[in-house]
Amino acid sequence: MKKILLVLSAIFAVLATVSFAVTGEQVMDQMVNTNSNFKTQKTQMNMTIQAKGQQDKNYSLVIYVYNNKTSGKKYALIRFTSPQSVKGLSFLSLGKDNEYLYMPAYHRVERVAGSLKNSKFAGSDFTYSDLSLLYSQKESGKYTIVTENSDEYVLSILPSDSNAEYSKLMMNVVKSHMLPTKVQFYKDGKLYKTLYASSLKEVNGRWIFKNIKLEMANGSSKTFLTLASTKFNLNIPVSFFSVRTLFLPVLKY
Amino acid sequence: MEKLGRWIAKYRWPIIVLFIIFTVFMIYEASKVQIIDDITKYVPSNDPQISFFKKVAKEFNMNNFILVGMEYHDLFSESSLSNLAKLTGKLEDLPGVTSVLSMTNAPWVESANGTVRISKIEKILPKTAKESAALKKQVMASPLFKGQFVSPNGHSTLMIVSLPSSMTAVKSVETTKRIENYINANSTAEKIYYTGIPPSNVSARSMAIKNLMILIPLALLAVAAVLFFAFRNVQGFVLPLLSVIVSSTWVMGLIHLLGFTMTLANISIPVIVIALGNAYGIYIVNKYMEERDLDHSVRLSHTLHDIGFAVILSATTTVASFLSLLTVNIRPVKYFGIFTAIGILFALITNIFFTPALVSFSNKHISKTKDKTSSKPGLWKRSVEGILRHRGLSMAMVLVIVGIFGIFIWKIKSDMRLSILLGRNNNIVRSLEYFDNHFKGHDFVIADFKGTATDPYLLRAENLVSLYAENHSPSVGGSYSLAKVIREMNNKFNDQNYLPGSSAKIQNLWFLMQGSDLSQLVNSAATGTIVQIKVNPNSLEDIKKLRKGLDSFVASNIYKRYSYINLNSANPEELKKAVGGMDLYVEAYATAHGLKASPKIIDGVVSKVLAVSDKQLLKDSSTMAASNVTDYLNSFGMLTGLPATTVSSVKNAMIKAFSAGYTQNALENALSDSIGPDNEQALAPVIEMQLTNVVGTLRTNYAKELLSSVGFLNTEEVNFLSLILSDRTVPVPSENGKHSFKIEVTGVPIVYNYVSNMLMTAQYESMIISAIIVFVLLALQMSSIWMGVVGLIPVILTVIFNFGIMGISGITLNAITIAIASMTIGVGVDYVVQVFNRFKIEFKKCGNTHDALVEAISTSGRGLLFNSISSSAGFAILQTSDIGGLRQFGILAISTMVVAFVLAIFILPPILSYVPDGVYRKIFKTKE
Repeated sequence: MKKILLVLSAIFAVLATVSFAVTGEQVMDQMVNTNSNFKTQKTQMNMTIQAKGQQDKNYSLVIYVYNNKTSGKKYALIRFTSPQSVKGLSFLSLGKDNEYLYMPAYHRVERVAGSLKNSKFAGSDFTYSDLSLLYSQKESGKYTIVTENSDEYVLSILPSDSNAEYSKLMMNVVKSHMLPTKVQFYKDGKLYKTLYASSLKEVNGRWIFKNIKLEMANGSSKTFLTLASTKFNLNIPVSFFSVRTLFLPVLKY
Repeated sequence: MEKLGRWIAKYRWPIIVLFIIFTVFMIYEASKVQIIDDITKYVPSNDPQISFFKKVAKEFNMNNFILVGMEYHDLFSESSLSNLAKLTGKLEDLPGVTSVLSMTNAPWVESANGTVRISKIEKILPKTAKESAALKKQVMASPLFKGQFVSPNGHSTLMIVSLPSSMTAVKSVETTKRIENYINANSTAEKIYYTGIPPSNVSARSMAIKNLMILIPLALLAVAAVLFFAFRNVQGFVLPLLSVIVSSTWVMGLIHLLGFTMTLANISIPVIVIALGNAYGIYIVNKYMEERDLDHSVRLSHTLHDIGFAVILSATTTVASFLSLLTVNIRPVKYFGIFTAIGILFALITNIFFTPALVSFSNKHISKTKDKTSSKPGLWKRSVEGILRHRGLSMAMVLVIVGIFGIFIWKIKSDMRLSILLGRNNNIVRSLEYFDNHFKGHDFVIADFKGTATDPYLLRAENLVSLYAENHSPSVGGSYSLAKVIREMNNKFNDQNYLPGSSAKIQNLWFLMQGSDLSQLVNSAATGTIVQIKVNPNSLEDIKKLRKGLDSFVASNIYKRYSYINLNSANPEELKKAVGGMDLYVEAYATAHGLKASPKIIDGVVSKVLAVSDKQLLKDSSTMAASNVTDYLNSFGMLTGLPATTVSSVKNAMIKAFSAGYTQNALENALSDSIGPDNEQALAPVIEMQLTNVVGTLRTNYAKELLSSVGFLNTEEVNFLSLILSDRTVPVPSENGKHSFKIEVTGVPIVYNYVSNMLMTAQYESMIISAIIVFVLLALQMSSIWMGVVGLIPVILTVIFNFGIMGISGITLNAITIAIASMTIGVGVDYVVQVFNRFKIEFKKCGNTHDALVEAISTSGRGLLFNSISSSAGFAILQTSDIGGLRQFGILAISTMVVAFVLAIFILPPILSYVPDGVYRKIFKTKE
């Protein structure tokens, strides 16, 4: 669960850091480091899922991230705020295999398995693994710079995990802000979907993309993420990221 | 006619060349004919039943799919599941494939060690034998997988490959072949079976081609053999045969040229044209041979003058009889009628132009003295005299025999199913049997629900419909629905195996399913959902009963309009309504299960469970309730770090508050007193929320206790109803309620039933029209209404006899056999025409009915006999077909040929003999 939050954070909130990387691995390191340069973050966003022949689905959600650089602990909490039918539905990630789902209508919390990794996030085209592959160095893989010009790197990422969802990723990274502007996901050598980031915006000295689009290669669906607001380093205690918080109808922060 | 004969003689070469060129062109066209057999296309798409089915099938991707059954040595091994997962993924990428659903990519929810996992089996493939066994155990315990994706014995699995609903049948066949080839090449399954309309069409095409390749040559050979035996000269059988080869080729080519496709039922068209059309050639060739003149032009003009009109009349009655099938509003039957009629017309045209042109090159003459017709006149003469001498007995015998057969007419049933049409010995039916044996069905009856798909009562109604179908029909092998999926989710996530009455709870569960492919259960806007009732439609009668039963059950047990009552805030009147609503639900549940429940007992339990207050339940079980809450808080570490005494205080505070009659303030005060305000503020909100669940559990236990004593419910039913009764949101029927939905039943088996019913009515209509046309033609030919009526008698008796055979032998009325009655009238009347013609000629000669009849039968009897034998020989070849319907048609056609001939000899002369000579003199305008 946290991975998606980290990736979303990375997409929305990577510090503008201009540096020169020699290898693909180093480019990734630099992106991850800049992404992790905060303690807490609160992001409100809207998600629209457009599927062929179906009505659009719109969700609003708020994401809280806790990032302890010293201990390496990363916690996250996602709560859906609209539509009414899913309002209050929440996910809490306290590390691998320590993830919880809160269903407000049942007033119940259920522990969910880490195998959500390759599941679709809220029915969107995003999976949790999409984003972890992009930003987590812990995911082993081979990172290679395919091309480079004055503005961007084009990285090839070959995941080494046998259970990886994709056979390859191609990522365009804009050098000026060390942010990915385009990511192509391949399955069995064929393009599966493409992520586009646009509308670069500065928030509290950090550059973020306001709009993200994920488009399936077969044209079946698109997912749009639009950033409504983001705040960094709010004074959110670590105790906020607990099961007890999930029960609260109104969140303090 | 004479002029025509001379014209043909003059232009015989151009005529022959033209026919040959056109025939070669038609052979090319005929080779491209497509065989498509789709029951949903049998009836015009604007038919309300068909258009509704198509709409529903399109909405839920159920109109164009392939069911693939695969039997693995060890289905749950990593290699088998990995192979299945790979096949699923690869098939999804094949062009023309909309979606693929198998056990490896279907939503898989499992709950173990307090953790819920939403995944797909392809993501959690077992690595060891132990893991395989564990997975098998879980899958076989899942109501969503067992019977749906995995056979009850755990060896076979089912995959659904959907093709676009807009894809043409021809394109579907091509895509299906590609899919089958891919699976056959890449699956490690030991056995693979395919069913569904596209695979059936693939098999139907190969069966049809195989049958055509065998039946046409054999039919030609059979007819040739009989003709050669009968006439003993080459022209006598080669030219009539050539004429039917040309005409059957033309009609097949025309079908493709006009953009039509054939069904399995229609592949009998060329055989019928061969069997019936050769007679015209025989008449022409033999008449030509009889002509003594040396000039071919004169011979031709005489030939056409003498018998041209008779041949045209004979063909016209046959054409008319087949055209009577135009009244049948079932496309393949209609097209069968049109194209067989056209084939007969082509046979007529060929024998009027092409055959005379060819025969004109022959200088042979047949001596009339050598004509076998007159070689043994004594036999025929003696026979007819005997029949006329015992005319009463002869008629009585015929009537008794026909009457005995006629008794069995009531046993005739119509059945349009492919399995009946094809018989057992073919791949299509073997596949159907595999699915029936391993998955308890191969087709679906669909209960279509139009309304808010996530409405709790709608889902409960889905559940009731499923239960009713599963418990009331031997043909039903299970069901799959959104209600089942949501119920399973609720079971896995909340350990509550039922459908909650709260919309919010359903929405929570529904959200968790987002991203899973449920397109075959619910539409994209969630405004419609279906129950897929898997059936083994071996008995259309069972399907009819199922449909009737479902309609009746829905009408009596499902609310048309309703509202919800929240019992937490209900006044006494609302509580009374809620009890009434719940009574009805429990009664419906009992009915769906086939249980006999006493309304009084039900009401007693329901009113107690619904009326008991939360406070009372907490008071009665305060310790248990406090323990439950404490355990729950502990399970998430919310009491971790607190001293044991504090934990104990929390529990005691709850017991105290519950025992005194729970109020929020009282609980908060008790907690604050015992663990301090800070801990109270941290824990109270969570405890208060959990109380809803705890009270729910207590109410469920209370309901269980009461329901267990009613006597007619088993444990599973008690558990289910206890959860339903413990819900605080109750749907109640209400004329002004804001909720409603509509249920309609459809599906391919329903369509088969519908079309089969249409067939029975259509059979009578086409038969009557055929009879009217034949009567008019006969009356015109003989210039007598009386003769028209008499002529119909043997024909009608033949039809009755044939129906009797169908009733006795169990031959059903289907797309092939429906043609038999009309054909019997059209063909049977040929014999009547011949007898009438000859009788008229002979009566004019002798002026005496008896002598005229004896002479008429003596001279024409042998010709009629050989006509009957040669046509029967052509139809007998249908017995070599592996298509059961064609074999049945062959039997009935032979019966027609034989019985029509026998009746023309045994009943027509006796009837005609009863009429005084004067009447005939008047009819034939002859003098005494």
